[in-house]
Amino acid sequence: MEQFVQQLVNGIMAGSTYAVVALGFGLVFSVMRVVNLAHPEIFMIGAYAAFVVISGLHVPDAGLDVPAAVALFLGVLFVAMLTTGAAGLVLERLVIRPTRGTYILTPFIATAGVSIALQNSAQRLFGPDPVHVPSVIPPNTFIVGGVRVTSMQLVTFLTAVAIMLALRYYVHSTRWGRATRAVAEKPDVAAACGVNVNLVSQLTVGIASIMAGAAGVALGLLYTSAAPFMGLLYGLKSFICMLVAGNRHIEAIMAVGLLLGVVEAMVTGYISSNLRDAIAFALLLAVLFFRPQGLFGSYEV
Amino acid sequence: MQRLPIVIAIGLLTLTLAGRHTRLAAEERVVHFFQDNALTGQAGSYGTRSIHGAELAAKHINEAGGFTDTCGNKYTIKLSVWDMANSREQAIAGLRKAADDSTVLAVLGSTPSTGFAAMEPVAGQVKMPIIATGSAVPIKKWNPYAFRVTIATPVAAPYFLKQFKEMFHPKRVAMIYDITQDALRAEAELIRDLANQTGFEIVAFEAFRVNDTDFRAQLTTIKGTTPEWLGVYAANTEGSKIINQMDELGLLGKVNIFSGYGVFQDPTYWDLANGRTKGAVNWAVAFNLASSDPLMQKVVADYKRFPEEPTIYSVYGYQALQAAVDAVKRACAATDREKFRDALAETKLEALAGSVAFHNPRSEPNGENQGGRVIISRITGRDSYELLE
Amino acid sequence: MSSFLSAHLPAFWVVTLITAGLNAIITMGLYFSNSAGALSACHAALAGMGAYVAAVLTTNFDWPFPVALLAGAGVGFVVGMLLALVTLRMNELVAGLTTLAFGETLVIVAFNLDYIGGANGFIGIPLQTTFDSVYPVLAVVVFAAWRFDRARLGYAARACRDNPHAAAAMGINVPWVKTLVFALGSGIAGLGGGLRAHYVLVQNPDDMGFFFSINYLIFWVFGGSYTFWGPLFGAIFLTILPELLRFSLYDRFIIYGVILTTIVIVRPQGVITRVPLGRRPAFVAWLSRLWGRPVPAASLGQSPGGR
Repeated sequence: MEQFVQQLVNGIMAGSTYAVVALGFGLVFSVMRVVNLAHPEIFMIGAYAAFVVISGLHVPDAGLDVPAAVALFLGVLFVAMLTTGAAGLVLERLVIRPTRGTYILTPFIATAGVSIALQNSAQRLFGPDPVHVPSVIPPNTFIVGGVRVTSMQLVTFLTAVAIMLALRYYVHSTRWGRATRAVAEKPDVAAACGVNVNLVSQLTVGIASIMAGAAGVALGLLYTSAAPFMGLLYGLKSFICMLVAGNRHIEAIMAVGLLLGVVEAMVTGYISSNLRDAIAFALLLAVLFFRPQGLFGSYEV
Repeated sequence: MQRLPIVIAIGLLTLTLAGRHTRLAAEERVVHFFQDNALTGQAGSYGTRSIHGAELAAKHINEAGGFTDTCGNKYTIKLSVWDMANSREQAIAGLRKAADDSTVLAVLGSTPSTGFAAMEPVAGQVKMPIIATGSAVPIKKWNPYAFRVTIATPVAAPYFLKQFKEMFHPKRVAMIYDITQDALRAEAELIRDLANQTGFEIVAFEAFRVNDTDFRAQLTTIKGTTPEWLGVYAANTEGSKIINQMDELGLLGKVNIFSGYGVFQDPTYWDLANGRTKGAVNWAVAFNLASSDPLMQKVVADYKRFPEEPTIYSVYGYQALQAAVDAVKRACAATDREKFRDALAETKLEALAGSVAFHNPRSEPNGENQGGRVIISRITGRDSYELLE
Repeated sequence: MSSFLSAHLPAFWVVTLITAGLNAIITMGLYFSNSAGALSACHAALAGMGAYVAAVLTTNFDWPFPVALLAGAGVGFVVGMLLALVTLRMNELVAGLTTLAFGETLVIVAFNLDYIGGANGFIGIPLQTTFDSVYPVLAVVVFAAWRFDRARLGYAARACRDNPHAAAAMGINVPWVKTLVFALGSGIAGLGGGLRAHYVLVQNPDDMGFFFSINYLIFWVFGGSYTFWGPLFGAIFLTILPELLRFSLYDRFIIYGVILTTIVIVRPQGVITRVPLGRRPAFVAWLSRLWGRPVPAASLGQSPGGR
């Protein structure tokens, strides 16, 4: 029983790592019908930004007390989010704006080109080896009834929840958020009603990139490393989460991300670790087969 | 008198040409080796080190004035680099380019198996000798032109298991391995197959894929089987995450870690795992970056010109060039690939870290490195280890 | 032809051209599959399946090469048909995700199958593919695409892609067209995969993954997804481009990414766009003007939107 709960916790925590990248990815897709393949690379930039700041400050590994650690964490978050937000705005203006609205795959391949360039630039700048990111949050492990969770895992989970809540607040309760929803549902009608679709597009990509920066910091600290190709895995899983969740509710992406993590953990623990991805994908596909509009419903694509 | 400048010019020209001819008569040649390896892409960290290792070896030899073969000719070494970007087709393209270039004597590379598995048959077709520097992929049928300096599982793992049993008497062993990498998976499966006769039981056999980041599910399963030893067959990116997560799950104190291919001796692994690899055991090719061997110390000092730290792949690159130079010395040939291959086929060389020995007759080709001492070591620090056997 | 080329081109350019040809065959398969509105994100996996089948048949069972190739293509055809049937009722993106998941599942299954080597790959494949086998096959495939475009099936497929409801209203059997066309494309991909396996002489599950499928999608969209010249051009150009960039040893792929992105931004509809049948493309009309020949007004221009 303890093992079952541990696997469940493992799954939720792993799922929150997928959710944290998928949320921004899904936002851009549901609002603009654009698959931003450079999103995982922007997430990678966030992780490297954390590396640059933390190693630049020569922080000793886990050598800070709690208030200083929290302050440093927030500082690193701020710098990373600024960097990735800027990168996202440049990406939107240069790459996404000229290609959106044409065929659905055009921004996909334009951002694919950007992601190739970014991966190789990171490899050139920081070397082909992963770099060690010193941990900032004191690495305490909480043991409840034999089930172990670390502080950094909880921070990652909380980051995912924070991103989800921030996006939800943005989309539901702000003026620009309502405009975003209008554009997501019917872009032509929204434009006819006076919504500046270009500005909404920039805001959306900008906010998604800021979230990617936060995700990069969280995962960079969780795994204490940053690598040029770290975004590849998350790109694939986020894409799947996004499509299974449907694009109506932003919370759906978080739910599906956690679900994917739990399914993977359960399959690994109780069926087979060799066939983990195959079975996890098959289960998600079964879901899609019975509910083609996604688990939580979507606008018409 | 108006013709004088012309006469002087012609005279000077003649003297210059005669002088050149005289220099050529001293029989100094350039031997050209072609490096076909991964500079970019996901295998970039391995290929770059192999390329730099060979460059360093060439630099050492050229700075000492080149080398002389057994027939009295002097040579300097020229190296060219081709990036195969972890793509089979580009690896083949590089090999064929080298084969077309009559100044190229041999090809060094590649390190990733993606390249070597594709290059090995082509080497036989274009009759270009190649020396691989790190791939351990099983080769069904060798051709006489392919060689590798890597010490692979079939040679090392049985020796390791024998010593492992005698030193530690394990009873319950678990494995976590990368199912997508040929060498790691091959060794995990070999250990599983030999477990019974070695006298221990495999209590868990968990797989993962390259690029995975979360291994807690597999580790929780392993924890449930209470093993004494855990074999972590992963590259440094995944392996360091595995060991970190072992610590978080409370496994690190309870279970001992072992692996192969000298992975734990990589300083990057130590950094990424934050020193948690201390006490882990692995088999490795006998190289020690902290050894007192003067050549090794010189290599480590000179390697600082490159941005990365040296690991076994740098050593393989260095050894490959050493073996190639040794073969040139015995073959007395700078461009004759057949003579070079036949000389290379009977190499017995004490190289940078251990020996390189080939026995590759044309009748029964086998390009494996028969030399190479396998050691078992336990990690004591970032750059230091304790020799167990 | 092979020997003519070997005599006049450096060997590594021959390799690059063969690779470009192989990529072009598989991308033409993608063109067929996607011409009725599907989105195949698993073409590398379909090609890989055809490759494994053909390779096992020639290496382990000594089948003649052309027969093994056709067997690989046949397997690709059947699997493509099944995949299309499964995704019939789904909307475009969900169907794409299904193909993606299918591709990844095939990769994992291949890693676990020891008979085909697993991570070691299937090695020992005899070398059967040369320039003389790739380009004639490519020519046949291009000819088939040309005939397809002008045949009823081609018109029906484009109708299904542009507006499936209108197509159904016109009496086109949309499910049948989509399935047949997808299966055709998968068969061609299997053929291309078999050819590739007998050139590279090793077939690994890694070569079937999402990353390579994305590459084929990039070739297809980059070149122009509405005409068969598009994927042909896209595959050949984008395969040769990294080789042209070898002057920069370390930054090759950064430049490649920038060039790819720039061209897509400048030509988002694809480099080569569809010209309504019966009209001459603007480029040809321009050439005629240069030549001094008068050009009838009705044959100028492209359809609006360049679509």
